[in-house]
Formats: sequence, C-alpha cells, structure tokens
Amino acid sequence: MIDRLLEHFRGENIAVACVYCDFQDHEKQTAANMVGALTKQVVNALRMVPPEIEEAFKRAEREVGGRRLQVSETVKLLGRALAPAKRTFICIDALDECSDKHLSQLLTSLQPISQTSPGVRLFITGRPHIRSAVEKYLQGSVQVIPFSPNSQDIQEYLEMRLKHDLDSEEMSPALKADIMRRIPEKIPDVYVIANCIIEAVSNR
Amino acid sequence: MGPSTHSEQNATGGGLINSLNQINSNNTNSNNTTTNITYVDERAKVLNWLSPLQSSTRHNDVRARRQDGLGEWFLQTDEFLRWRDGKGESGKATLFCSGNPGVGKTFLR
Repeated sequence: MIDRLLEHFRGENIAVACVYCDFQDHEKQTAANMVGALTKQVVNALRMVPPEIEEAFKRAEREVGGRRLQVSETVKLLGRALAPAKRTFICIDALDECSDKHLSQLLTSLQPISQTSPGVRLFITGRPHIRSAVEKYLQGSVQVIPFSPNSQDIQEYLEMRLKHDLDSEEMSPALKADIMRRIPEKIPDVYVIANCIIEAVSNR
Repeated sequence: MGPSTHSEQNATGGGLINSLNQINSNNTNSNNTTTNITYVDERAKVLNWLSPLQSSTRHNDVRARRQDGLGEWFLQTDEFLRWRDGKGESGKATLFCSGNPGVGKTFLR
C-alpha cells in the first residue's frame, strides 16, 4: 500500500511513513521511538531538516550522553517535519503487537496531529480487539474496514506458493489441482493456514 | 535515485543525500544541491538521534515477500479512496484495517 500511495502521488509533495509493530521488540518500540521513526521518514521524504529539529538535536547533544527524546518532544518535531507536506500518510502495522502502554501513548500522541493537520492520514492495521482502543484515542475520525482476502486473493496466493513447489517429487499436477480446489473451500480467509498446509504437503 | 551528480563539482552532497534511503522522488527544494558533505553527515546524525528504529529494512522485507495483486479489492474500496483523497470533511482521517493475523494486511500492495 505504501508503494501504491507513492505511485499515485508521484511528483507531489507528500510523505509516507510507517512503523511495523512487533511482539518481540517491545523494549525498543517505545512510543517515543516510533514517533521518532515516523519523523525520520517524513524528513527523508521531504528532503529537508526543519530548523526546530536541528536546534533540538543540538540542545540534546550538549547534555550529558546526548539525552534521548521524550514522546512529547518527538510529537512536536513530527508536527514540524510534516508541516510543508501537502499530505502525510502515517501507517502503523499490527498495532495490537505494541505493548498496551506504548499503544495508548502512541495514539494519544498522534491524535492532535491528525486533528489539526488536514493533510495527515493515518492507516492502522491490527486485530479486531484493538478497535475500541483506536476509536477511543482517535475519537470520531476512524473509519473501520474489516479485512479478509477474497477468493481470488487466495487463488493467486496458492498459485504463487505452488509455483515453487512443483519440482518436488510429491507435487504432481493432480495434487496441485486438489490443493487449489480444496483450500479455498475449507478456509476462506486465512493465508497463514494455507501456508502451513502447503508446507506440510511439500514436506518443508 | 536521481541522475548521477559526479559531473557537477558542488553537487556531491546531493548524491549523498539521495543515497540516504529516500522514498520520495519529489525534490521541492533546489537549494539542496548546494549542500556540502559536512551537512550530510550532520543530517545522518540528526536522523539517527530521532529514533533507533529502522522501518525501511522491514518495508523492504515486506516488499520482497509480497505478491502483487493480493488485496487489490481493498485498494479500490470507496472507504480507502475517500481516505486517500480526503476531499472536504467527508474523508475520515484514520482508516483502521481490522483483521486477524495472517489475513494479509501487511502485504497489501
């Protein structure tokens, strides 16, 4: 989706920034670091370091050990970084993998930015159970789309996976046809399961 | 990545800037071409200070593993297009794409 947005707005003054949350990275994925990562990408996309960011950096450098940023500071810097952009797309993937504390801090931080800058768009993915948290922190501005792949998606995905397995001894055209017929029937909406079955069949 | 800048003596900095992981080809500030190497080093330091997280690595991984065309229907929905183009007040600023793990949300192209 990120690449698609970049293609669509090619030549325009836009920024796309994303964060992929990960269960295994709670220590590093603090709200401050995530907002900082978004700021970094916006600065890169617009190819300019706003003076406020440079000044904040110099101030921090003068302190012992180059003090790290607090979330409230990174949010201000993000606001400065994206100000020149016509549009800024902020994508947060797998928000449910973020720790509760950082999730609430992150959304609380992004809320004023999305409310006050009309060009800012947030795209969040996550399991259905975090919907209430997203709606709570981003009051009134949330459109929810339940996501599940359609049957064509499943077919294309299976085709792609099987293409690489046809050389193995077990994989015959008949078995392939069987898989293509049965998997979409049995499990209409989950790639992961389709994946496991293919791997089990091809013994990998 | 922009065209090679070796032919212009003062544009070496521009080449380095280009190599700094840039994803947007639109350069709105032509003054950047006069930037010198010291500035580029300084800029990299500032960016590192902003966050230790490297999202571009993960994005390249996703890009390499995804299958084009998957979830295409999603990118054609009115909700997505309204969110992307957001004309007037009608487009809500946040789109929450809700789904269980493994349904392919991350790999939307």
